[in-house]
Amino acid sequence: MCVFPIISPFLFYIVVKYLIYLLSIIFLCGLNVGLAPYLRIYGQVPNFLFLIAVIWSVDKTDDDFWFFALFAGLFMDFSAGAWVGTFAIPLLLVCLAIRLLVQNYLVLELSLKYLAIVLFPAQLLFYFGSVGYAFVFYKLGLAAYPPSASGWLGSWVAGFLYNAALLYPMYIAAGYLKTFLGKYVVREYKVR
Amino acid sequence: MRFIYTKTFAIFAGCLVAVCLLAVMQVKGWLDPITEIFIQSPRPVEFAARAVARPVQGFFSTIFELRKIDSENTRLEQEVYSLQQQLVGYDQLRRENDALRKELGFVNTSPFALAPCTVLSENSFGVTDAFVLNCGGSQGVAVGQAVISEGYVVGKIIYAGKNSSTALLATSSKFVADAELSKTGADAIVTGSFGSGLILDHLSQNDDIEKGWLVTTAGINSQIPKGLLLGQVGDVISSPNDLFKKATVVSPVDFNNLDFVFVAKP
Repeated sequence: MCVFPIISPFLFYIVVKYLIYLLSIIFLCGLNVGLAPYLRIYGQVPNFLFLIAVIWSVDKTDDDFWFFALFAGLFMDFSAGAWVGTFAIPLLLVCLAIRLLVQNYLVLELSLKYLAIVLFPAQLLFYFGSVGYAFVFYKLGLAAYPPSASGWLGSWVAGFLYNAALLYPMYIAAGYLKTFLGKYVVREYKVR
Repeated sequence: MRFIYTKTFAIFAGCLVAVCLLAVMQVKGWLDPITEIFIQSPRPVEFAARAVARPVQGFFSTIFELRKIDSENTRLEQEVYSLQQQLVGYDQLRRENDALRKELGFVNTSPFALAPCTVLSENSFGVTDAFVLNCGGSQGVAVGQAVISEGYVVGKIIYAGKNSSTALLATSSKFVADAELSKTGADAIVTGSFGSGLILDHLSQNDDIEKGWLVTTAGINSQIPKGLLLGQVGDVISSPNDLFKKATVVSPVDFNNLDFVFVAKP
């Protein structure tokens, strides 16, 4: 039974769904920020928010990845103390590129194996996008220092391997979240 | 159908416009309440994650360092005796200095005020070399000021919002601070070294330098007070043919584990 009878079940489902997404992003952001000092290898830490957005964008039947890309990027911007858009815009670009790839060039669903291959250029695009965006802010005189791509690239391999190692657990976690939404939330509000 | 007329592009463009709008608001300084929400909302999870990870890390690091503890203890005991002897001399000098100041009519001024801050997040995504503090302009924090932890400089403020600010880690390759050797007063520059430590550079070849000497801020930059500890001289890494002397600077602070810091307000 719907708790708020004034709101239609479908609208309520939408609200619940996005609330769950938002809580998931907040949870992953907290995990990333809280565990980062303890998980560092060659100065690199896994990026759960990047992974969840990438994983979500490979499902060609689902447009909810935009929500993940936008909010994961914004949470990364604010948590890292960067200018708004430093991570959000590259993440949106990465997710758009993956979606176009999946929609236009792949007939079958993208599997974990392909996802691992996609992760490499995706992360490269994400990092260079962030450096480029930060450089624009530096050129505009808003940032005190120019971004150092060499510093990032020096430990980039460690970051990529770290994310690749966590891809499968994140893929499973994303699968559970989708199952939860499909089985319980949809059934509860009798929509679809 | 052309790509720009698709739903995918429409959503992408909408998101892009929203982010750009937020960026403009941040530049104008209108984003502080939203920043607070975004920074504070993951805090409970962050606290829980830290509470679990810290004892685990402590346990393993203790096991790894057990062998070193005995030799380190002996070394520290010797260092304590030598420092106690030095302290006697310094006490005498301080008394003399106080007496002379009184004679000459010098006025004692507090070198700087400290603003206590909590570290909200620290280089969480491994790409920015920065950490976010929960204090900003309303606490007197301004761009360029030094951030101190355990008495040592750990960074410099690069962005100051109303209630939060961003500081650049001292180990970042972009970090630069004027410095001097406390023993001789020779001026130099301290820079970060790609996340691995600090480097003392631009020290004249004529100046002496020895391992263990203290490196402090020189006070040339008006935003950073003179005499803040940066670290101790480690190994000299330049050759006699180089234009300037170069050495590593060892800081006892764990830059990956900053919880509470102070911002030095000149």
